[in-house]
Amino acid sequence: MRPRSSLLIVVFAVLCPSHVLAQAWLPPAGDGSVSFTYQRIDNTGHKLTNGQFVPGGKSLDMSLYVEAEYAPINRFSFTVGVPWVFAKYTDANPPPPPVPFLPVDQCRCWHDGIQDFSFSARYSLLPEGWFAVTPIVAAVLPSQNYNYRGEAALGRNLREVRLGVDVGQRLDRVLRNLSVQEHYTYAVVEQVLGISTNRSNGSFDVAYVFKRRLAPHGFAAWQVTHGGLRLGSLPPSDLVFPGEVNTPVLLEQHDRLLRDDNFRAGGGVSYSFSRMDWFFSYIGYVSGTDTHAGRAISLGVSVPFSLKPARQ
Amino acid sequence: MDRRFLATVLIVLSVFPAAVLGCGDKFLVASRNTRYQRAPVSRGPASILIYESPSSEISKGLAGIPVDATLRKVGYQPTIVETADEFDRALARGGWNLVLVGNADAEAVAQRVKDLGVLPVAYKPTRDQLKQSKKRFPVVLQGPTKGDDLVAAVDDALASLNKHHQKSAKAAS
Repeated sequence: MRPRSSLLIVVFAVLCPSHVLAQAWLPPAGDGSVSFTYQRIDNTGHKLTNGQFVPGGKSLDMSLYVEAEYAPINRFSFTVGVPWVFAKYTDANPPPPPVPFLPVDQCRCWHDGIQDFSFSARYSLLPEGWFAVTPIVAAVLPSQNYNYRGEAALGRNLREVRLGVDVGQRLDRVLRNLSVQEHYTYAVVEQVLGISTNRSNGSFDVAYVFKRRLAPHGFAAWQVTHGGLRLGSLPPSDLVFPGEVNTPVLLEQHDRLLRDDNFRAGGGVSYSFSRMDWFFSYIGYVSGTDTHAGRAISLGVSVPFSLKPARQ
Repeated sequence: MDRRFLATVLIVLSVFPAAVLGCGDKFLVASRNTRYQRAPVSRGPASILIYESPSSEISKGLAGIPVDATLRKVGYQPTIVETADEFDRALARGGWNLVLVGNADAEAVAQRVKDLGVLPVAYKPTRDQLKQSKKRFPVVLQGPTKGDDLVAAVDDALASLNKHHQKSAKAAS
């Protein structure tokens, strides 16, 4: 592989959709895994700029996600993934004007397509042990010029680069096989109409492993968008709907320009067989502003593999 | 703000109390906590003596597993001996944390190495054999097995040995 190609892979390794994924510890040299995930997101409504829940604009998203991770050497791993997203508008009512009721939503039918390629690279600053600090660089690259408008869109169709760090710590002094991981990334997102929607994502994950096979865990995740537009709230309010989305041009782009701040929490469990791991997780959308209300469940399998490690 | 646009919006708001916002996330990767995303097992560079005579249960039980490479990969320091003489010399030399032997030899070896951990490997044991071994030893590895199970059994045997040593130290003080 040419050096330039290698560099591109590393650069684009920052845009992955793993908002809630902390991974401070890495596979040993020569090991990796391929994961297949099914995910269902029930968008049960929206949270307004003042945080008020409104039950309108319901939609359903489902995804099949394939991801491969490999560690060519100790303390370094890279990941490549892509989801196939299905989305449909499910609400009985149309959105409130001026939000257009687009044909993509009117049919209340499934729209699907390959969404964004994600690439990430992680390097652990410390040798494997009870404490881990692992910087991340990741990239997200839309796989095609897909529709980003409406509830049945496949995504935001924006490139982004992320820089962050995962920190992990075993808590053997409290309880053997108990550990916590923290995750922070700053995402530099492609601008639309000159408006920044860069954001910070963080998460905290606590996990316990029974007999090396059964591993329940719980997590909380937050997102703060640095920029973006507020869509306002119901009157009386300081910023009445449609808030800062106050021109037709902004309205056309509002799906990918909102200041989506949110807090989510959930839990999951994984079980390791000799040749594969099964996992399940639930994410509840706890609170937020200019964001969806809803919940997500994920179910999948991860198949580990070993290749000859690169020379170190 | 465009006044006509604003006026339209306000009129509409009075009719539609529920505002609809943007599309939001269409896909989230949640923490999966699969084997490589978990905290690694805490391991020291323990020295492990493996008595693997060609006819023993341990050879059959661990057949197909690159025992040396598997244990070295996770940080252990294994030494494999194949004859009784080599085994005796190795025991006399000392410096071991754990000894892996066939289930049939485990009791005799345990009598010789009282301060070390002994991990018996039982190849297709009967229920009674397994029950007897588990009464005597905290961890028993059943064969045929896989590399991950070997590492897990060694981890557990060493953890159990540590606990035993800690208890003994407390009792002595």
